Formats: sequence, C-alpha cells, structure tokens
Amino acid sequence: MALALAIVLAIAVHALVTATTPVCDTVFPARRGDYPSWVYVLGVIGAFVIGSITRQIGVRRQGRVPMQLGEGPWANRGAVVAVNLGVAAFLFLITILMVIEAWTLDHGAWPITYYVRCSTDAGALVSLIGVIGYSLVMGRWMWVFNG
Amino acid sequence: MTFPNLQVVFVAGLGIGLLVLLALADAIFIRTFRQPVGRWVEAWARRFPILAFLLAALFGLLVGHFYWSTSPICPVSAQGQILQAGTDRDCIPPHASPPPNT
Repeated sequence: MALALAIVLAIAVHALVTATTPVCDTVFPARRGDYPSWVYVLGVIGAFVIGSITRQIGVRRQGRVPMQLGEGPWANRGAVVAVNLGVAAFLFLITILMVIEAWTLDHGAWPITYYVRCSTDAGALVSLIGVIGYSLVMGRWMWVFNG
Repeated sequence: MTFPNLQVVFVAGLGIGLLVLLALADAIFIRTFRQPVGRWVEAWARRFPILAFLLAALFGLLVGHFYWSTSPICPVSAQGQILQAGTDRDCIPPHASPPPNT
C-alpha cells in the first residue's frame, strides 16, 4: 500500500516538476473543477459511512471487544504514547497550516485554499480519490459511537 | 519551476505523503505492537470520543471549504454587460430576466 501510494506521489511530483506551463489559472484558481462539487461532497459522505460500516462488520466477524486506549490489549505504554504523539503531531500540523493560511490572507498572497483548488483543477481524479480515501479512513477510525 | 506548480507539489506531497506515512506506520505497528495503527486509533477514539468527533467535524469543514463550489453570481453593469471581477473569474452568469408582463 505504502509503495503504491509512493508511486502515485512520484508520478504526480514528476508531472508537476516537468510541466512547462502553470497547471491552473495563475490569477485566480477555479472554484469548480472537472467534477461538480456534489460529486466530492456525496463521495466523501458515502466513504465516511462505508468506512464506519466496514469497521462494524470487521468487529462483529472477528468478535473483537471494543475497548478504550489503555485497557486490555490496548495498554502497551509505547503504543499509547505513539498514538497520542501522532494525534498531537496531526493537530500541530493543522495549526501550522491555519497560521500560514491566516498570514497569507493578511499579506495578500495566495492562501493554501487556492493551491488546493489549483491541485483539484490540475488533477481532479487524483484529488477525488485522495479525499474519498481520507474520508474512508476517518469513518473507520473516528466514528466509534455505535460499538 | 513555474508558479504555482511548486506549491502544488507541496499540496500533493502533504496530501499523498500523509497517506504514505500512515501506511508505513501501519506496517511498523503490526510488527511492533501486533495490531494495525487503525485499531489503536479506534481505541484512542473510544477513549476520547468528543475529540474524535471534533476531528471528524474538522475534516468535514475542510472538505466543504475546499470542494464545495461557492461561485457567486457575476455582477451586471448598468448597460447589461456581465462583469467578471479579478477575484471572481469563475462566477456564474445571471439568468436572463423574464420579459416584463405587458
């Protein structure tokens, strides 16, 4: 999986590095890509639900007992520290990105949002698959209220 | 490199790179702690359900912000010409007005 994703990343970077023209409008990146916005929104919602359902099916099939971090098999101190550090690092990354977004907006430069729109304009399918992949992971990992 | 391709490389690197890191973390967790990273994060989400909900909500907000098209209606001049301001290149042209009832 990691290898396949790394290959996709290498192909995308190679295409961008070797491109001789801008991959999107350099004045104002389009808000609308190749696909209408409902495709992204419904795709993300659907992937989130599918992620949650497949997790529940996995839990039932394997007869796993849902436990909290720090209980039973989830009490390994090293793993607990690693998971908490991972979440903290993710939140720190989001904070940094939001600070950059605020700074760019304040200084009249392109905010990160514009570059994301530019990426969507340049590679709509990769963007759609990527955001659906993230949503699937979020649904599997974060929606744990029903077991 | 041509603007904005370098910055798009960073977006692609962060977007796909995070997934690559997760897949690598999965392999490490299976080898070291005998369970994939997802199950450990599930256990974390059960321990901190409100934080998990907030993270999912943050993700939803970001998706809406980035991908939900919010193109405004283009302004129209007094002469009826559709104006496209510098910041609204992809605005939607307004519908033609219906003929007045006479």
